[in-house]
This record gives sequence, structure tokens and C-alpha cells, in this order.
Amino acid sequence: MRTLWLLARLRVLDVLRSRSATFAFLGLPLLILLVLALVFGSGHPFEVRRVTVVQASGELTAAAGRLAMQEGVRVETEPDLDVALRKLETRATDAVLERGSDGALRLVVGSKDELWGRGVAGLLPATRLALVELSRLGYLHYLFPGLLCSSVMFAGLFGMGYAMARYRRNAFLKKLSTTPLGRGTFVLAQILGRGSLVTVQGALLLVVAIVGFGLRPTLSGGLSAGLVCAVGLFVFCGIGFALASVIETEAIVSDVISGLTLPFTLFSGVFFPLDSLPPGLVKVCALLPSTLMVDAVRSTLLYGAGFARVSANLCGLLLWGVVTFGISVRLFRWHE
Amino acid sequence: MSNQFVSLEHVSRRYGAVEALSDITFRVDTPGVVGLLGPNGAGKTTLLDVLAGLSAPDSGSLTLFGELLRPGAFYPRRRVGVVLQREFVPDHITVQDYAELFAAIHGVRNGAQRIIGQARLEARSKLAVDRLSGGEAQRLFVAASLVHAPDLLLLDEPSARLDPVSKRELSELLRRVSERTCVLMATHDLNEAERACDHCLFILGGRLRAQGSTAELMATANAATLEDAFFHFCSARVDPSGDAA
Repeated sequence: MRTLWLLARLRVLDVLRSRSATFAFLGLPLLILLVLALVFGSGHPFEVRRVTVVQASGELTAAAGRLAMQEGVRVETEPDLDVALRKLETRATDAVLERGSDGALRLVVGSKDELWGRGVAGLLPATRLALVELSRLGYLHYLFPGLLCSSVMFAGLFGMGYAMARYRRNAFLKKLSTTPLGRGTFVLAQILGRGSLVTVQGALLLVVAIVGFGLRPTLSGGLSAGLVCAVGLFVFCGIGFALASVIETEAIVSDVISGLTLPFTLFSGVFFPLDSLPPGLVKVCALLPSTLMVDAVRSTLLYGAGFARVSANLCGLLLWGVVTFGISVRLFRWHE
Repeated sequence: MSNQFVSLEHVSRRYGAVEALSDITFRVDTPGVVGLLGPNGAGKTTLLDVLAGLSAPDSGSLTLFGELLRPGAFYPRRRVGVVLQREFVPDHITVQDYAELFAAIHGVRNGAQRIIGQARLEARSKLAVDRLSGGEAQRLFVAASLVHAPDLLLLDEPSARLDPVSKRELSELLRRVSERTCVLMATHDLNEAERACDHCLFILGGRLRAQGSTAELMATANAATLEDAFFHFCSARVDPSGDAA
């Protein structure tokens, strides 16, 4: 009986004597609850319906203003009708309001949203409802850029953060420090190695999405998304490197990365547009590197956006990269 | 032949409240094997870290190959080889990968073959390093540290995981290497030290207790073996666990 008690006690102490294990056991569920409360505390994100107004001016502006006053309706503007319809296809928006070729206002919704569309059209003067058949795979297309970015994010965070902490703890970095190998060369090699793997991973995902699920990116959109992912990998390698600079062991780095997964995913527009969240939170989320990357990849891959449209996202990502690598270069200890 | 390989003048190194090295002064002017002897926690690894440029002294000066190393100054890594007390190789890296990496780092053409040949691992070159026996792995680490023909070789307990045959082979290898290289080797194996070392440094509590040729030290201690000399110079402060008091 005493042996049983001692073994059970040792098992408990094994957790409690490790800060990372204690955090994972006690803190992580609380963190998850907090994140879920922030995201879902004001209702289900899909309760919020979006109307995209094309080339808002005059009568359309007035209509948009009227819709914006309705509870649970978000209004956004989009200059390009094709992009607006593509957003409808991928469920990034629920309706497109435009001026038809006959000059009358036209509200385009998916056929399953006919009832809701009639209600919205009824709020607006002389607005015709147009129903379109939407692909059942549209929401999957919406999710795809988020999946791609998650791969990049984990490749960077684990590939750099976990690896650098592990190599330092096992004195591999100490060994390399005794050789003429430059530290920059070693870090660059880690990024290149991870970049190669994540390129293959992303290409495989893209091929399956195109062949199996009807995704139709343009060549320029695909290349642009690839560039954004490359910058994103650099940024998340920087964040992983910074984590390894301030956290001693790879186990705690791993726990922290696991803890970051949920907020990064939910706060970055992977599953639903950010405007479903409370307004204050949206502003913070918009600055996250994951949000900048997901938004830019989605815009380029799904909506064919050019570099001008995502240049602000790229600048933001590069700033994150410079800051995190700057911190890492300053704080990272190459051996214990 | 006098190259002034290593010279330390009043070197001290502190880690928090612990004075790991205190006022260490010695110099090595000729090739040969120098044993760094002392109980656990004596400061041997710290001293090797200072010599390897991994840790800067808090005070005192370090001169390598006649050049004074000032803080932040260029360290001549191309002239130094190091084998750490605890070597780690990432998972799935084969003997061939490891040899190629260190040959490339040192810019030695055909260096991989040289490393594998010297480690006598030709038949196991496709094997992951973590699948090698302790002795085989240690031979690989020593061979990799020699690929660029360093003038100074620093070894931290290189024979700790070796069987008697491998220890004997390592001693013979070090004797050959030491014809033109200064080999500084921390070890607990006093038989090996007596066999391999021309000179020894006894270090205890971060302080240099004695230095000289192996024969001189044994004579001074009136000892028949280097092990007896070790207890003469270090026993007063070794507790039963073997750690320095």
C-alpha cells in the first residue's frame, strides 16, 4: 500500500515539479476557456451575416448604410464584382449587393439563403433578389489558405523554436560554436531546411485541393501566395527563435507553441472572418502575423489579388520578422 | 621547437557565486599531450571552455599561438579542434552525414573519407550515429575534430565511454597526433593519463595545484603511479563522493 502511495505521489510530483507540465496541466485548459470566451462569448461567429457592396456610390452607399444598422449584419465594400462573387462562392460573404446592368440594385445570394435574402432585399428600395447555386466545396476553399498557413506556422515555430532549444540543451550548438561555422549560416540552414519541407507539403496540399476539391487558383495567385508563405515562414521561424531565446528547454517551448496554437488559429480568420469577433479584439487580431499571412494568402490564392493589395500585409510580416530575429540575435544563448 | 601554443596568465572565471577558475597560470610551448586532472567539479571543463573560446575569462589573459585573445577578438577556430564531454548528434544523421558536415565546415576536400577512415567506420558509414557503440561514436568525434589538422586539440574526457582496447587505441592516436599538435585532455582515467600524457596539470577547486612533466610530478609526490600523485595533490579536498569540496 505504501509503495502504491509513493508511486502515485511521484507521478503527481513529476507534473508539479515541472513548470511546463504544471502549465500544460492546469494553465492550458484555462487559457483555452479564455480564448473560447473571447471568440464565442458574443455568439456564434456564423450568426453574423456579411453583405459585400460592389463599387459603393450614391444609391448603393445609402443601401449599405441601411444594412449596416441592422443587428448581426456586417457590410464591406469591394471594387471588383468578380472578387465579390468569389467571396460569395467561398462563403467569405453571404450576399453581394451591386447595381445590375439595368441600373436596378441586385442582391445576389446562394439559393439556400433565399429566405434570408428576401428579408434583406425587402429592407432596400427597388432591390431585386438573384439566387445562384454555390458549390458545396466553397467553404472548404475558404479554409484552405488557413490550412496552408497553419503548416507554415508550425513549420516555423517548431522547426526553429523547438530545434534551437533542443540543440542548445544537447550541446550541439556548443559543439558547432567550437568550429568556424558562422551562426548566421546555421540559422539560415534551419530556415532553408524547413522551407524545403514546407514547400513540398504545401505543393502536395495544393495539388490535392485542385484535383480533389476543385480549387482553381491562378498561376500568379499561386506564386504570390507562395511568396507570402515564404515571408510567413521567415516570420514564424523568427518567433520560434525568439521563444527559444527566452525559454530554456525544448519541452517548455513545445508547450508554449501548443498553447499558442488555438488563439493563433481562432484569431487569424482561419475558420471565419475576423469581423465576427468583438470590435476591440478585431483590431488586435488584425496585427497578428498569422492573420496577416492568412489574409494575404487567401486574397492572392482565392481572389487573385495582386501585390499592391497585400503589400501592407507583407510589410507587417517583414516587420514581425525583423523584430523577432532582432530579439533572438540579441538574447539567444548558444550554449549553457 | 617552440610555438607557444597556449598561455594563460592569472585567468579567473566565476559563475554567479561559484569561482570555477581562480588565478590559473600555465603555458604550453611544445607539441605533446597535456593531461588536465582533477576531481569532478574541479574546473576542468570550464578551463577547456575558456581555451575553446566558449567562455571568456573574467580576468587574466589567454594567448593562443602567440596572439593575445582580447574580449570579442577573433578566435582562431581553424587551428583548434574540440571534443566535448557530451557530444550530441541530431537523430537520423548517419556517420557519412556527420563526416561530410564537419569536413565541409572546415573546408577540407575529401575530409569525410578521412574522418571515416581514421574512425575505422567504413563499414558503418550508412548507420545513424546514435546507433553506434559508445566507442565507435567517440572515435568518430575525435576523427572529426582532427579533420583540419588542428594545432591545438581540446578533449574533455575522451575515453569515458571506451573499452580498454579503444582506450589503448585512442592513446596511440593521440601520441601520433601530438607529434605536431598540442593536445589538452581532461580525464579521470589516470592510467590512460600516465600512458598518454607528457605533462599534467592538477586542478582542484578551480585552482591549479601542480603542473609539470608526468615524471616530475610523480617524483615530487614521491608516487609510484600517477594515481598516487593524484591523491597526493588532490586527496585533501576530495569528499567521499569524489567531488571537490
